[in-house]
Amino acid sequence: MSIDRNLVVQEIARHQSRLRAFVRCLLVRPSDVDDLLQETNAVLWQKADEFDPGTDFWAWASQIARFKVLNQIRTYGRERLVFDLDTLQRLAEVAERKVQDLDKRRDALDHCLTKLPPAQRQLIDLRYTSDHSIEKIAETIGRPEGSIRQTLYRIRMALMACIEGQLATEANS
Amino acid sequence: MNHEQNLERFKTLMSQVVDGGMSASESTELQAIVESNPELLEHMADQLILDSLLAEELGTDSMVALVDLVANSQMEVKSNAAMRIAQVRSSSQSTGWLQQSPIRLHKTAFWFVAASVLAIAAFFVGRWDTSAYANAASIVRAALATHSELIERVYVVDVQRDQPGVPGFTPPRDVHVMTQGDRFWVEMNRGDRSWCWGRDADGATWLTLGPRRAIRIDSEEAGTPLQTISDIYSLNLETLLDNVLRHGEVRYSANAGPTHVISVTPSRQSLGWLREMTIEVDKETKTVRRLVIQRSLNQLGKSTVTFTLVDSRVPDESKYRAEGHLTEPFRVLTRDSTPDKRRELLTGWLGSMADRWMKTKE
Repeated sequence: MSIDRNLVVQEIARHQSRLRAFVRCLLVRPSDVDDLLQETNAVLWQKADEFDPGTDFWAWASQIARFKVLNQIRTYGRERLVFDLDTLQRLAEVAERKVQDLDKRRDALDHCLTKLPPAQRQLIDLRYTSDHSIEKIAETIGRPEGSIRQTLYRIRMALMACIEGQLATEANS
Repeated sequence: MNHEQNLERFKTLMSQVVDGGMSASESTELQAIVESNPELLEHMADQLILDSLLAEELGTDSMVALVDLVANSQMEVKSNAAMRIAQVRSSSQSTGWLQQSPIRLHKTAFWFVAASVLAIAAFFVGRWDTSAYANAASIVRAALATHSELIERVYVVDVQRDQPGVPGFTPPRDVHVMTQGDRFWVEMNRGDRSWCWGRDADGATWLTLGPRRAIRIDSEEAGTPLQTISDIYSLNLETLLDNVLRHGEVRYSANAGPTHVISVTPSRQSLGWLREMTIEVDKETKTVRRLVIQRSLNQLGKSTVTFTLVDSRVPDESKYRAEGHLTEPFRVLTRDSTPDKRRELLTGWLGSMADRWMKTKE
Protein backbone atom coordinates (compact mmCIF):
# COMPACT_ATOMS: atom_id res chain seq x y z
CA MET A 1 0.00 0.00 0.00
CA SER A 2 1.42 3.37 -0.95
CA ILE A 3 1.74 6.25 1.46
CA ASP A 4 -0.82 8.20 -0.55
CA ARG A 5 -3.34 5.46 -0.11
CA ASN A 6 -2.73 5.47 3.61
CA LEU A 7 -3.36 9.17 3.62
CA VAL A 8 -6.63 8.68 1.81
CA VAL A 9 -7.74 6.00 4.23
CA GLN A 10 -7.03 8.35 7.10
CA GLU A 11 -8.92 11.16 5.45
CA ILE A 12 -11.90 8.96 4.66
CA ALA A 13 -12.01 7.93 8.28
CA ARG A 14 -11.73 11.51 9.45
CA HIS A 15 -14.68 12.47 7.27
CA GLN A 16 -17.00 9.61 8.22
CA SER A 17 -19.36 11.79 10.18
CA ARG A 18 -19.63 14.30 7.37
CA LEU A 19 -20.20 11.60 4.83
CA ARG A 20 -22.82 9.95 7.00
CA ALA A 21 -24.68 13.20 7.55
CA PHE A 22 -24.52 13.92 3.85
CA VAL A 23 -25.96 10.53 2.97
CA ARG A 24 -28.61 10.86 5.67
CA CYS A 25 -29.88 14.04 4.04
CA LEU A 26 -30.77 12.17 0.89
CA LEU A 27 -32.47 9.09 2.26
CA VAL A 28 -35.79 8.44 3.95
CA ARG A 29 -34.86 5.29 5.75
CA PRO A 30 -32.14 5.55 8.37
CA SER A 31 -31.57 1.86 7.76
CA ASP A 32 -30.31 2.65 4.27
CA VAL A 33 -27.75 5.18 5.46
CA ASP A 34 -25.00 2.93 6.70
CA ASP A 35 -25.24 0.55 3.78
CA LEU A 36 -24.85 3.39 1.35
CA LEU A 37 -22.11 4.93 3.44
CA GLN A 38 -20.14 1.71 3.24
CA GLU A 39 -20.54 1.61 -0.50
CA THR A 40 -19.44 5.20 -0.75
CA ASN A 41 -16.38 4.41 1.34
CA ALA A 42 -15.54 1.57 -1.00
CA VAL A 43 -15.71 3.87 -4.03
CA LEU A 44 -13.52 6.48 -2.35
CA TRP A 45 -11.05 3.74 -1.58
CA GLN A 46 -11.06 2.52 -5.16
CA LYS A 47 -10.38 6.04 -6.37
CA ALA A 48 -7.73 6.77 -3.76
CA ASP A 49 -5.02 7.12 -6.40
CA GLU A 50 -6.90 10.04 -7.92
CA PHE A 51 -6.65 12.16 -4.80
CA ASP A 52 -4.00 14.86 -4.94
CA PRO A 53 -2.43 15.32 -1.49
CA GLY A 54 -2.40 18.92 -0.46
CA THR A 55 -5.77 19.63 -2.02
CA ASP A 56 -9.07 19.82 -0.17
CA PHE A 57 -10.07 16.26 0.65
CA TRP A 58 -13.68 17.09 1.37
CA ALA A 59 -14.08 18.85 -1.96
CA TRP A 60 -12.77 15.74 -3.68
CA ALA A 61 -14.62 13.21 -1.56
CA SER A 62 -17.94 14.97 -1.51
CA GLN A 63 -18.08 15.09 -5.30
CA ILE A 64 -17.46 11.38 -5.52
CA ALA A 65 -19.84 10.70 -2.68
CA ARG A 66 -22.55 12.78 -4.28
CA PHE A 67 -22.18 10.99 -7.58
CA LYS A 68 -22.15 7.61 -5.90
CA VAL A 69 -25.11 8.33 -3.67
CA LEU A 70 -27.28 9.80 -6.38
CA ASN A 71 -26.34 7.05 -8.77
CA GLN A 72 -27.08 4.40 -6.20
CA ILE A 73 -30.42 5.76 -5.14
CA ARG A 74 -31.60 5.71 -8.73
CA THR A 75 -31.88 1.99 -8.16
CA TYR A 76 -34.07 2.41 -5.09
CA GLY A 77 -37.80 2.10 -5.24
CA ARG A 78 -39.97 5.17 -4.83
CA GLU A 79 -40.89 4.13 -1.30
CA ARG A 80 -37.28 4.59 -0.22
CA LEU A 81 -37.01 8.15 -1.48
CA VAL A 82 -38.68 11.41 -0.63
CA PHE A 83 -37.76 13.47 -3.64
CA ASP A 84 -37.18 13.13 -7.32
CA LEU A 85 -33.59 13.27 -8.54
CA ASP A 86 -33.63 16.95 -9.45
CA THR A 87 -34.67 17.93 -5.97
CA LEU A 88 -32.19 15.47 -4.50
CA GLN A 89 -29.44 17.18 -6.51
CA ARG A 90 -30.35 20.50 -4.96
CA LEU A 91 -30.62 18.99 -1.51
CA ALA A 92 -27.21 17.39 -2.00
CA GLU A 93 -25.71 20.79 -2.76
CA VAL A 94 -27.20 22.24 0.40
CA ALA A 95 -26.13 19.27 2.51
CA GLU A 96 -22.61 19.28 1.11
CA ARG A 97 -22.18 22.88 2.19
CA LYS A 98 -23.79 22.49 5.58
CA VAL A 99 -21.80 19.49 6.76
CA GLN A 100 -18.54 21.38 6.38
CA ASP A 101 -18.74 22.68 9.95
CA LEU A 102 -20.04 19.41 11.33
CA ASP A 103 -17.34 19.08 13.97
CA LYS A 104 -18.25 22.42 15.46
CA ARG A 105 -21.90 21.47 15.37
CA ARG A 106 -21.14 18.25 17.18
CA ASP A 107 -19.31 20.04 19.96
CA ALA A 108 -22.17 22.51 20.25
CA LEU A 109 -24.67 19.67 20.33
CA ASP A 110 -22.80 18.00 23.19
CA HIS A 111 -23.15 21.22 25.15
CA CYS A 112 -26.79 21.75 24.18
CA LEU A 113 -27.80 18.24 25.20
CA THR A 114 -26.70 18.98 28.74
CA LYS A 115 -29.12 21.91 28.82
CA LEU A 116 -32.21 19.89 27.98
CA PRO A 117 -34.77 19.49 30.75
CA PRO A 118 -34.81 15.91 32.10
CA ALA A 119 -38.13 14.98 30.48
CA GLN A 120 -36.93 16.11 27.08
CA ARG A 121 -33.62 14.39 27.52
CA GLN A 122 -35.44 11.19 28.41
CA LEU A 123 -37.44 11.39 25.21
CA ILE A 124 -34.33 11.98 23.14
CA ASP A 125 -32.63 9.06 24.88
CA LEU A 126 -35.56 6.78 24.16
CA ARG A 127 -35.46 7.79 20.54
CA TYR A 128 -31.71 7.66 19.93
CA THR A 129 -30.02 5.74 22.73
CA SER A 130 -32.65 3.06 23.12
CA ASP A 131 -33.50 3.34 19.42
CA HIS A 132 -37.21 3.01 20.04
CA SER A 133 -39.73 3.66 17.32
CA ILE A 134 -42.31 6.37 17.85
CA GLU A 135 -44.88 3.67 18.50
CA LYS A 136 -42.71 2.09 21.16
CA ILE A 137 -42.00 5.41 22.85
CA ALA A 138 -45.70 6.23 22.89
CA GLU A 139 -46.43 2.88 24.46
CA THR A 140 -43.60 3.23 26.99
CA ILE A 141 -44.56 6.61 28.33
CA GLY A 142 -48.28 6.43 27.67
CA ARG A 143 -48.73 9.33 25.31
CA PRO A 144 -50.24 9.47 21.83
CA GLU A 145 -47.87 8.98 18.90
CA GLY A 146 -48.75 12.35 17.42
CA SER A 147 -47.82 14.06 20.65
CA ILE A 148 -44.48 12.24 20.75
CA ARG A 149 -43.71 13.29 17.19
CA GLN A 150 -44.54 16.91 17.91
CA THR A 151 -42.51 16.98 21.07
CA LEU A 152 -39.49 15.42 19.42
CA TYR A 153 -39.76 17.93 16.61
CA ARG A 154 -39.85 20.79 19.10
CA ILE A 155 -36.89 19.40 21.02
CA ARG A 156 -34.85 19.15 17.85
CA MET A 157 -35.82 22.70 16.95
CA ALA A 158 -34.64 23.82 20.36
CA LEU A 159 -31.39 21.94 19.90
CA MET A 160 -30.88 23.52 16.50
CA ALA A 161 -31.45 26.98 17.96
CA CYS A 162 -29.04 26.21 20.79
CA ILE A 163 -26.41 24.96 18.34
CA GLU A 164 -26.73 28.09 16.21
CA GLY A 165 -26.40 30.21 19.35
CA GLN A 166 -23.30 28.33 20.40
CA LEU A 167 -21.73 28.71 16.99
CA ALA A 168 -22.51 32.41 16.93
CA THR A 169 -21.03 32.91 20.39
CA GLU A 170 -17.92 31.04 19.35
CA ALA A 171 -17.59 33.11 16.20
CA ASN A 172 -17.84 36.35 18.16
CA SER A 173 -15.38 35.37 20.87
CA MET B 1 -52.60 25.86 0.86
CA ASN B 2 -51.12 29.20 1.71
CA HIS B 3 -47.55 29.68 2.87
CA GLU B 4 -48.36 29.33 6.56
CA GLN B 5 -50.26 26.15 5.98
CA ASN B 6 -47.43 24.83 3.87
CA LEU B 7 -45.00 25.49 6.70
CA GLU B 8 -47.17 23.72 9.23
CA ARG B 9 -47.57 20.75 6.95
CA PHE B 10 -43.84 20.75 6.25
CA LYS B 11 -43.14 20.39 9.98
CA THR B 12 -45.41 17.40 10.24
CA LEU B 13 -43.94 15.74 7.19
CA MET B 14 -40.37 16.43 8.29
CA SER B 15 -41.13 14.76 11.57
CA GLN B 16 -42.08 11.70 9.57
CA VAL B 17 -38.94 11.87 7.46
CA VAL B 18 -36.79 11.98 10.57
CA ASP B 19 -38.72 9.65 12.86
CA GLY B 20 -40.22 7.32 10.29
CA GLY B 21 -43.70 6.64 9.07
CA MET B 22 -43.84 8.53 5.80
CA SER B 23 -46.10 7.14 3.12
CA ALA B 24 -45.59 7.45 -0.64
CA SER B 25 -48.38 10.00 -0.95
CA GLU B 26 -46.84 12.08 1.83
CA SER B 27 -43.50 11.98 0.02
CA THR B 28 -45.22 13.39 -3.03
CA GLU B 29 -46.82 16.04 -0.89
CA LEU B 30 -43.49 17.02 0.66
CA GLN B 31 -41.91 17.20 -2.77
CA ALA B 32 -44.60 19.62 -3.89
CA ILE B 33 -44.18 21.80 -0.80
CA VAL B 34 -40.42 21.99 -1.24
CA GLU B 35 -40.75 22.79 -4.93
CA SER B 36 -42.92 25.75 -4.13
CA ASN B 37 -40.76 26.75 -1.15
CA PRO B 38 -37.16 25.95 -2.13
CA GLU B 39 -35.80 27.67 0.98
CA LEU B 40 -37.17 24.76 2.98
CA LEU B 41 -34.38 22.57 1.63
CA GLU B 42 -32.02 24.41 3.97
CA HIS B 43 -34.26 23.65 6.90
CA MET B 44 -34.61 20.06 5.82
CA ALA B 45 -30.85 19.58 5.62
CA ASP B 46 -30.44 21.13 9.07
CA GLN B 47 -32.86 18.67 10.58
CA LEU B 48 -31.41 15.62 8.91
CA ILE B 49 -27.86 16.60 9.82
CA LEU B 50 -28.96 17.03 13.43
CA ASP B 51 -30.64 13.63 13.28
CA SER B 52 -27.42 12.09 12.03
CA LEU B 53 -25.40 13.76 14.78
CA LEU B 54 -27.82 12.67 17.48
CA ALA B 55 -27.68 9.13 16.21
CA GLU B 56 -23.90 9.20 16.33
CA GLU B 57 -23.59 10.92 19.67
CA LEU B 58 -26.26 9.06 21.59
CA GLY B 59 -26.48 5.75 19.82
CA THR B 60 -24.91 3.01 21.85
CA ASP B 61 -22.76 0.51 20.08
CA SER B 62 -23.77 -3.00 19.40
CA MET B 63 -21.35 -4.36 21.94
CA VAL B 64 -23.53 -2.87 24.62
CA ALA B 65 -25.64 -5.98 24.71
CA LEU B 66 -22.74 -8.33 25.05
CA VAL B 67 -23.25 -9.55 28.57
CA ASP B 68 -27.00 -9.36 28.63
CA LEU B 69 -27.59 -12.86 27.53
CA VAL B 70 -25.07 -14.45 29.80
CA ALA B 71 -25.32 -12.20 32.78
CA ASN B 72 -28.23 -9.85 32.91
CA SER B 73 -31.35 -11.69 31.97
CA GLN B 74 -32.04 -12.67 35.58
CA MET B 75 -31.59 -9.17 36.75
CA GLU B 76 -35.12 -7.87 37.06
CA VAL B 77 -34.51 -4.44 38.49
CA LYS B 78 -37.92 -3.10 39.27
CA SER B 79 -37.62 -0.71 42.14
CA ASN B 80 -34.68 1.45 41.25
CA ALA B 81 -35.40 3.67 38.28
CA ALA B 82 -31.78 4.39 37.55
CA MET B 83 -30.94 0.75 37.51
CA ARG B 84 -33.88 0.09 35.23
CA ILE B 85 -32.57 2.63 32.78
CA ALA B 86 -29.20 0.95 32.91
CA GLN B 87 -30.82 -2.34 32.04
CA VAL B 88 -32.84 -0.90 29.21
CA ARG B 89 -29.79 0.79 27.80
CA SER B 90 -27.71 -2.30 28.11
CA SER B 91 -30.09 -4.41 26.10
CA SER B 92 -31.11 -1.90 23.55
CA GLN B 93 -29.35 -1.05 20.39
CA SER B 94 -28.20 1.83 18.47
CA THR B 95 -28.26 3.45 15.19
CA GLY B 96 -24.99 1.76 14.48
CA TRP B 97 -24.53 -0.05 11.22
CA LEU B 98 -25.41 -3.42 12.65
CA GLN B 99 -28.94 -2.52 13.35
CA GLN B 100 -29.24 -0.53 10.20
CA SER B 101 -27.60 -2.97 7.88
CA PRO B 102 -29.65 -6.03 7.22
CA ILE B 103 -27.60 -6.44 4.10
CA ARG B 104 -24.18 -7.76 4.86
CA LEU B 105 -21.19 -5.89 3.64
CA HIS B 106 -19.58 -7.08 0.54
CA LYS B 107 -16.19 -8.59 1.08
CA THR B 108 -14.46 -5.66 -0.48
CA ALA B 109 -16.10 -3.15 1.76
CA PHE B 110 -15.53 -5.47 4.63
CA TRP B 111 -11.77 -5.56 4.17
CA PHE B 112 -11.76 -1.91 3.61
CA VAL B 113 -13.53 -1.22 6.86
CA ALA B 114 -11.26 -3.53 8.78
CA ALA B 115 -8.20 -1.88 7.32
CA SER B 116 -9.68 1.56 7.81
CA VAL B 117 -10.19 1.00 11.51
CA LEU B 118 -6.56 0.44 12.02
CA ALA B 119 -5.50 3.26 9.79
CA ILE B 120 -7.78 5.71 11.51
CA ALA B 121 -6.38 4.78 14.83
CA ALA B 122 -2.88 5.18 13.50
CA PHE B 123 -3.71 8.62 12.32
CA PHE B 124 -5.39 9.86 15.45
CA VAL B 125 -3.26 8.18 18.00
CA GLY B 126 -0.21 9.04 16.04
CA ARG B 127 1.67 5.99 17.09
CA TRP B 128 1.87 4.00 13.92
CA ASP B 129 4.02 4.49 10.97
CA THR B 130 3.16 3.05 7.58
CA SER B 131 4.72 -0.30 8.27
CA ALA B 132 2.90 -0.64 11.55
CA TYR B 133 -0.37 0.09 9.86
CA ALA B 134 0.24 -2.44 7.14
CA ASN B 135 1.24 -4.96 9.76
CA ALA B 136 -1.90 -4.49 11.83
CA ALA B 137 -4.13 -4.50 8.78
CA SER B 138 -2.62 -7.74 7.60
CA ILE B 139 -3.21 -9.28 11.00
CA VAL B 140 -6.85 -8.36 10.86
CA ARG B 141 -7.17 -9.70 7.35
CA ALA B 142 -5.53 -12.94 8.32
CA ALA B 143 -7.65 -13.27 11.43
CA LEU B 144 -10.82 -12.79 9.45
CA ALA B 145 -9.75 -15.20 6.76
CA THR B 146 -8.95 -17.80 9.37
CA HIS B 147 -12.25 -17.21 11.04
CA SER B 148 -14.14 -18.16 7.91
CA GLU B 149 -12.33 -21.46 7.43
CA LEU B 150 -14.27 -24.67 7.82
CA ILE B 151 -12.89 -25.20 11.27
CA GLU B 152 -14.97 -24.91 14.37
CA ARG B 153 -13.42 -22.81 17.08
CA VAL B 154 -14.47 -23.20 20.67
CA TYR B 155 -14.37 -20.28 23.06
CA VAL B 156 -15.08 -20.28 26.74
CA VAL B 157 -16.87 -17.22 28.06
CA ASP B 158 -16.15 -15.79 31.45
CA VAL B 159 -18.01 -12.90 33.03
CA GLN B 160 -16.63 -11.16 36.07
CA ARG B 161 -18.19 -8.34 38.02
CA ASP B 162 -16.43 -6.01 40.37
CA GLN B 163 -19.55 -6.02 42.54
CA PRO B 164 -20.28 -9.72 42.91
CA GLY B 165 -22.90 -9.08 45.55
CA VAL B 166 -25.34 -7.32 43.23
CA PRO B 167 -28.76 -8.84 44.03
CA GLY B 168 -30.15 -11.03 41.30
CA PHE B 169 -26.87 -11.55 39.52
CA THR B 170 -25.63 -15.08 39.16
CA PRO B 171 -22.45 -15.36 37.16
CA PRO B 172 -22.85 -17.87 34.36
CA ARG B 173 -20.67 -20.92 34.46
CA ASP B 174 -19.21 -23.13 31.77
CA VAL B 175 -20.43 -21.11 28.83
CA HIS B 176 -18.87 -22.31 25.61
CA VAL B 177 -19.29 -20.75 22.18
CA MET B 178 -18.71 -22.78 19.05
CA THR B 179 -18.18 -20.68 15.94
CA GLN B 180 -17.62 -21.36 12.29
CA GLY B 181 -17.82 -18.43 9.91
CA ASP B 182 -20.94 -16.49 10.80
CA ARG B 183 -22.55 -19.51 12.41
CA PHE B 184 -22.32 -20.27 16.09
CA TRP B 185 -24.01 -22.15 18.85
CA VAL B 186 -23.88 -21.75 22.59
CA GLU B 187 -24.97 -23.90 25.48
CA MET B 188 -26.14 -21.90 28.47
CA ASN B 189 -26.80 -23.00 32.02
CA ARG B 190 -28.42 -21.00 34.73
CA GLY B 191 -29.77 -22.56 37.85
CA ASP B 192 -31.86 -25.55 36.88
CA ARG B 193 -32.37 -24.38 33.33
CA SER B 194 -30.14 -25.03 30.41
CA TRP B 195 -30.69 -24.19 26.81
CA CYS B 196 -28.86 -23.81 23.56
CA TRP B 197 -29.06 -21.08 21.04
CA GLY B 198 -27.26 -20.20 17.89
CA ARG B 199 -27.36 -18.95 14.34
CA ASP B 200 -27.62 -21.29 11.42
CA ALA B 201 -26.23 -21.07 7.89
CA ASP B 202 -29.31 -19.14 6.74
CA GLY B 203 -28.74 -16.44 9.33
CA ALA B 204 -31.73 -17.51 11.40
CA THR B 205 -31.42 -17.50 15.17
CA TRP B 206 -32.75 -20.47 17.09
CA LEU B 207 -33.21 -21.24 20.76
CA THR B 208 -34.09 -24.49 22.41
CA LEU B 209 -36.61 -24.28 25.22
CA GLY B 210 -36.16 -27.63 26.88
CA PRO B 211 -35.43 -30.92 25.12
CA ARG B 212 -38.49 -31.03 22.87
CA ARG B 213 -39.19 -27.49 21.81
CA ALA B 214 -37.35 -24.73 20.02
CA ILE B 215 -38.12 -21.49 18.30
CA ARG B 216 -36.58 -20.21 15.12
CA ILE B 217 -36.39 -16.51 14.28
CA ASP B 218 -35.54 -15.63 10.71
CA SER B 219 -32.89 -12.96 10.22
CA GLU B 220 -35.39 -10.39 9.03
CA GLU B 221 -37.52 -10.94 12.13
CA ALA B 222 -34.72 -10.58 14.64
CA GLY B 223 -34.83 -7.48 16.79
CA THR B 224 -31.77 -5.36 17.19
CA PRO B 225 -30.61 -6.75 20.56
CA LEU B 226 -30.79 -10.30 19.25
CA GLN B 227 -28.96 -9.39 16.06
CA THR B 228 -26.34 -7.68 18.13
CA ILE B 229 -25.82 -10.47 20.58
CA SER B 230 -25.70 -12.97 17.74
CA ASP B 231 -23.12 -10.98 15.86
CA ILE B 232 -20.94 -10.72 18.92
CA TYR B 233 -21.22 -14.39 19.76
CA SER B 234 -20.15 -15.31 16.27
CA LEU B 235 -16.97 -13.43 17.23
CA ASN B 236 -17.25 -11.61 13.99
CA LEU B 237 -14.47 -9.03 13.92
CA GLU B 238 -16.24 -7.11 11.23
CA THR B 239 -18.82 -6.10 13.79
CA LEU B 240 -16.40 -5.30 16.53
CA LEU B 241 -14.09 -3.25 14.40
CA ASP B 242 -16.83 -1.30 12.73
CA ASN B 243 -17.95 0.00 16.07
CA VAL B 244 -14.46 1.17 16.70
CA LEU B 245 -14.34 2.91 13.36
CA ARG B 246 -16.52 5.68 14.63
CA HIS B 247 -15.74 5.93 18.29
CA GLY B 248 -12.56 4.23 19.29
CA GLU B 249 -8.87 4.61 19.45
CA VAL B 250 -6.95 1.52 18.46
CA ARG B 251 -3.52 0.58 19.68
CA TYR B 252 -1.47 -2.22 18.28
CA SER B 253 1.14 -3.83 20.46
CA ALA B 254 3.95 -5.73 18.84
CA ASN B 255 5.04 -7.95 21.68
CA ALA B 256 7.41 -10.84 22.05
CA GLY B 257 4.69 -13.29 23.02
CA PRO B 258 2.67 -15.61 20.81
CA THR B 259 -0.05 -13.07 20.05
CA HIS B 260 -0.58 -9.70 18.48
CA VAL B 261 -2.64 -7.47 20.73
CA ILE B 262 -5.09 -4.89 19.44
CA SER B 263 -6.60 -2.68 22.13
CA VAL B 264 -9.51 -0.35 21.64
CA THR B 265 -10.51 2.47 23.95
CA PRO B 266 -13.65 4.53 23.45
CA SER B 267 -12.89 8.09 22.62
CA ARG B 268 -16.12 9.79 23.57
CA GLN B 269 -17.99 10.21 26.80
CA SER B 270 -21.11 8.79 25.19
CA LEU B 271 -19.44 5.42 25.15
CA GLY B 272 -18.64 5.48 28.82
CA TRP B 273 -20.07 2.00 29.24
CA LEU B 274 -17.22 0.54 27.19
CA ARG B 275 -13.99 0.88 29.04
CA GLU B 276 -11.74 -1.17 26.84
CA MET B 277 -11.76 -3.96 24.31
CA THR B 278 -8.75 -6.14 23.65
CA ILE B 279 -8.36 -8.60 20.81
CA GLU B 280 -5.50 -11.07 20.88
CA VAL B 281 -4.59 -12.64 17.55
CA ASP B 282 -2.35 -15.68 17.30
CA LYS B 283 0.83 -14.82 15.42
CA GLU B 284 1.08 -18.16 13.68
CA THR B 285 -2.47 -19.28 13.04
CA LYS B 286 -3.88 -15.73 12.89
CA THR B 287 -6.82 -16.91 14.95
CA VAL B 288 -8.54 -14.71 17.48
CA ARG B 289 -7.35 -16.26 20.71
CA ARG B 290 -9.00 -13.95 23.13
CA LEU B 291 -11.50 -11.11 23.17
CA VAL B 292 -11.81 -9.15 26.38
CA ILE B 293 -14.45 -6.50 26.85
CA GLN B 294 -14.47 -4.34 29.91
CA ARG B 295 -17.75 -2.69 30.39
CA SER B 296 -19.21 -0.13 32.74
CA LEU B 297 -22.76 -0.86 33.89
CA ASN B 298 -23.62 2.47 35.48
CA GLN B 299 -24.71 1.81 39.05
CA LEU B 300 -24.20 -1.88 38.67
CA GLY B 301 -20.43 -1.55 38.60
CA LYS B 302 -18.07 -2.93 36.03
CA SER B 303 -17.98 -6.21 34.23
CA THR B 304 -15.34 -7.98 32.24
CA VAL B 305 -16.34 -10.49 29.60
CA THR B 306 -13.63 -12.72 28.24
CA PHE B 307 -13.90 -15.04 25.25
CA THR B 308 -10.95 -17.42 25.25
CA LEU B 309 -10.17 -19.87 22.47
CA VAL B 310 -9.86 -23.33 23.96
CA ASP B 311 -10.15 -25.67 20.98
CA SER B 312 -10.22 -25.89 17.18
CA ARG B 313 -11.83 -28.89 15.57
CA VAL B 314 -13.99 -30.23 12.77
CA PRO B 315 -17.51 -28.89 13.28
CA ASP B 316 -20.48 -31.09 14.08
CA GLU B 317 -22.85 -29.71 11.46
CA SER B 318 -25.99 -30.91 13.24
CA LYS B 319 -25.25 -28.75 16.27
CA TYR B 320 -25.60 -25.54 14.28
CA ARG B 321 -29.34 -26.16 13.99
CA ALA B 322 -31.92 -26.40 16.76
CA GLU B 323 -32.89 -29.89 15.70
CA GLY B 324 -29.44 -31.12 16.63
CA HIS B 325 -30.13 -30.37 20.28
CA LEU B 326 -33.67 -31.76 20.56
CA THR B 327 -35.04 -35.16 21.43
CA GLU B 328 -37.81 -36.77 19.34
CA PRO B 329 -40.67 -35.98 19.27
CA PHE B 330 -39.94 -32.28 19.15
CA ARG B 331 -41.47 -29.15 17.70
CA VAL B 332 -39.72 -26.15 16.19
CA LEU B 333 -41.88 -23.04 16.21
CA THR B 334 -41.31 -20.88 13.18
CA ARG B 335 -42.68 -17.76 11.56
CA ASP B 336 -45.00 -19.88 9.48
CA SER B 337 -46.36 -22.09 12.22
CA THR B 338 -46.73 -19.97 15.32
CA PRO B 339 -45.65 -16.39 14.79
CA ASP B 340 -46.93 -14.90 18.05
CA LYS B 341 -46.39 -17.81 20.37
CA ARG B 342 -42.65 -17.45 19.98
CA ARG B 343 -42.51 -14.02 21.59
CA GLU B 344 -44.64 -15.24 24.46
CA LEU B 345 -42.32 -18.19 25.01
CA LEU B 346 -39.22 -16.06 24.79
CA THR B 347 -40.31 -13.65 27.48
CA GLY B 348 -41.68 -16.44 29.65
CA TRP B 349 -38.41 -18.35 29.44
CA LEU B 350 -35.83 -15.59 29.49
CA GLY B 351 -37.61 -12.60 31.01
CA SER B 352 -39.05 -9.34 29.72
CA MET B 353 -35.76 -8.36 28.13
CA ALA B 354 -36.35 -10.96 25.45
CA ASP B 355 -39.42 -9.09 24.25
CA ARG B 356 -37.19 -6.96 22.06
CA TRP B 357 -35.54 -9.91 20.46
CA MET B 358 -38.20 -10.02 17.82
CA LYS B 359 -39.25 -7.05 15.79
CA THR B 360 -42.66 -5.64 16.52
CA LYS B 361 -45.11 -6.06 13.71
CA GLU B 362 -45.43 -3.03 11.52
